[in-house]
Amino acid sequence: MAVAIELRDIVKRFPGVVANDGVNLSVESATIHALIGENGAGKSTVMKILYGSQQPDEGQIFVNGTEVHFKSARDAIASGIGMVFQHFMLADNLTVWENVALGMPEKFAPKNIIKRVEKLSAQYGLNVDPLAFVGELGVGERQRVEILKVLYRGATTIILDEPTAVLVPQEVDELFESLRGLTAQGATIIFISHKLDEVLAIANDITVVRAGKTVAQVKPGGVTARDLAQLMVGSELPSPDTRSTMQSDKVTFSISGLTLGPEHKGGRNLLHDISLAVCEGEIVGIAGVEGNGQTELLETIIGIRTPMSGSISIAGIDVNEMTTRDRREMGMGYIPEDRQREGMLLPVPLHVNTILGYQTSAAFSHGPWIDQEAAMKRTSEIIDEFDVRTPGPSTLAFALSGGNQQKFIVGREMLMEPKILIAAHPTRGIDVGAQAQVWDAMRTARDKGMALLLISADLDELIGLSDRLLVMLRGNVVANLDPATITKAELGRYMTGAHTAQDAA
Amino acid sequence: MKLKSLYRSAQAPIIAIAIALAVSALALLVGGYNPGRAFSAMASKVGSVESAALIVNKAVPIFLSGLAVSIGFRMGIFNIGVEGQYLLGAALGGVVGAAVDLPGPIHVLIIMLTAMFFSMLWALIPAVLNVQKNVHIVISTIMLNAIAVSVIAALSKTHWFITTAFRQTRPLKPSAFFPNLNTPLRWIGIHLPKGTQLFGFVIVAILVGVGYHILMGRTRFGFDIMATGINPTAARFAGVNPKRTILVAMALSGAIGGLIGMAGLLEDQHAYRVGEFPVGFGFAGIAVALLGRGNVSGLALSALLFGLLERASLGLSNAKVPREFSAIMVGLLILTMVIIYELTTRKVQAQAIKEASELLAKTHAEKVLA
Repeated sequence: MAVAIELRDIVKRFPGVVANDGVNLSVESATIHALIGENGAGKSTVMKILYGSQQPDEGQIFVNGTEVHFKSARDAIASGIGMVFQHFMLADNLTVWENVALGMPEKFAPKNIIKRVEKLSAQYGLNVDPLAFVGELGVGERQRVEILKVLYRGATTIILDEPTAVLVPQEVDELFESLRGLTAQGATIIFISHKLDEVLAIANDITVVRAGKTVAQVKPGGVTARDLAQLMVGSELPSPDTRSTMQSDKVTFSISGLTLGPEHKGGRNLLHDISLAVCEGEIVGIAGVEGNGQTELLETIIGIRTPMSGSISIAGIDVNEMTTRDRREMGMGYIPEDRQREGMLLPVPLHVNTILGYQTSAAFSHGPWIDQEAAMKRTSEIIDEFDVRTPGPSTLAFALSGGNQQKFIVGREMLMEPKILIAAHPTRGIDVGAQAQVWDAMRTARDKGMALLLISADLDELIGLSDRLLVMLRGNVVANLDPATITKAELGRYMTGAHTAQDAA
Repeated sequence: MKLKSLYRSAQAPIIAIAIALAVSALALLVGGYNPGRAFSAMASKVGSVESAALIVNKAVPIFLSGLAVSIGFRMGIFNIGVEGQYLLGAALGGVVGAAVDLPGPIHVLIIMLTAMFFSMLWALIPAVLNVQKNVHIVISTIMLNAIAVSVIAALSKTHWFITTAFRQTRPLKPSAFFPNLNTPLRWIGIHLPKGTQLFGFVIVAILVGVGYHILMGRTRFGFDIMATGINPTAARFAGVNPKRTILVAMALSGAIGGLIGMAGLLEDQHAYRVGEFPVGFGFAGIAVALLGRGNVSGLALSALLFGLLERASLGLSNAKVPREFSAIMVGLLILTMVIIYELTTRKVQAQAIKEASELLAKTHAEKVLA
């Protein structure tokens, strides 16, 4: 069969990180090719390069055997490559055909457009009414409108970025039906995902990306989900085995029976009866595929969401009724999931960011007054101790690379010496050397008695750091594991639900 | 270093003023007027001690209005309602001031507090609507401006108001007059011509300005407002209660807004006259806040610039140029300033990113060499 898309030795560097470091991809025409990998493995960078929105530093791209150099997405579209983003870009108050026509540089002839949309919809079995208003369509149908948009622009290769993330199971089946229809008509699909069972169900070929490299191309017939998980995370186990034995049984932080109601009426509970305890000098890890309630758990712990029932307490004191500020003052440190959105004030200097979250702490304020000098001094400490690469403490936060911003946030929270540190993805996006530094800092803090709740997508990190390991699946804690004996592959099976809680006991 | 940064920060407004003047000259030419004559006629109006005092007098309420608007800006709220807030505050301040009879300073203070109180109440309406029902503050404040004017009109039909040439509140007694600064000026050898005064309220404006500067730059509350304005999500994670912050900030904005009309009421007109009391300061404050960028000295300079242009525009009639041209100039000035500021900000940001990434590249190289 002919090769529709080929990437050879793609390298893409960003300040401080190499996002792609030797990516090879060969997609056969009229097939569904899955690209899988952990968060941060470099999948989306590959796709941005293929879609022309970023240019590779090294390597070649071939479309139907001809080398291409995309300067922008427009070039990619001209070569017949289209992309359906995870977040739809549709105007709700327009009809399907209007959305399809939107932004097209051609003469406005509604009749012709409607006719063509109808024809495409029928040809590829997408089953979309061109006259329907997008606002009235369900999520699955909207996604098909996005696919129609791409087809209308002449795409023969369609990239779908995590298309199932927004869909419920029935819609996933419908999408797969549509995708099979598309390939039957000669279209090529590149399917990005980290949901292994779905990938096995739909793909003709699977390419695995790990740490910026493509590590394997396999056929779904020859592998199991467990094999794929192993390929995704790599087989080598993390180095740390300096587990301290001086854990106490004094509970610093506990959650009991925490249930968080559904987002929309009639939906399922976002969190269901979660109970956990973190002792003084203990790191409890929470594993789970993204989107299984971790975000909601974090937001409930910090006090941004209000649970239906259950309680949260710090050092035996119930903080359920307390505001976020009260919880912070009680000694709750917080490394947020999304550093720029939740943890930084980008347009202002680092020394102002040092105060963020600790406006009322005695370290930086006396009565109503903010102590700028203390903040400045602390900022220098953070920069020194956590190796933040910055021209100085007064540098504006956005000037730092993502990894350095992350190190700064970790340093800010750790140096406040909280009783309980809630750490979400503490090493996401930072390079390997810095990662080891952060891990060391967390271990040292643990040994000094800090309690840490670690939520991460990095299985090495979870297994290497945690004293106990919980697994979340669909808003439930489904397993309580001993990281000393678990392997990454096994953990992966708990995370995807292949293993059940009964097996764990 | 200090001089250089001073030069840098002065650069942008000077360029903006130059461009605005150039385009204004073009507009004058197109209109068939002689720009040279128009500008010199304007300049002739601003040379004297008298005009300096009048410019400052004009700048005082605009500056206070700029402060009131800036509090909202700092936290990402566009409070259009300062206009209605200050007018309502001034009208009710006038009513209460005429109804009571108290010794000097207390009488003045009561009127000021009354105006601040009602202006604050008026500002709290959109704040509560926003916090409780998520009503957009721009929309509600615009509507409340219109309602405030109607409320004053309705009020003017009550027995609290009398009819002279205008419907007006009963005149204030001299105990409610705010002292002007002519006497202290005379001590230092500056003599204002008869009939001209320098508002004593300029002292109040300076005090409020200093207070604003300290509150925003040095306190926890100012930090919360700044954090909310920059990144509301991060502010929430950092323990800022967004609803409470909106309420307090709007209340504060309204209270400062109440002072806007006080110079006019206590030093100039000594009564609230419907149709005669100076309007438009609330909107001028929005422009000044845009130009001043939440920075007190920037606000003060912008307010003075507004006062200057207002004063200079009186000269236009001598050059047989319609006064509306001054409005064109003010508009052009705001536009060029905003654009130039935006460009400078981008330049500064790009420079910061460049410095940080150069450092990163350097340390990387050192690592490799080592």
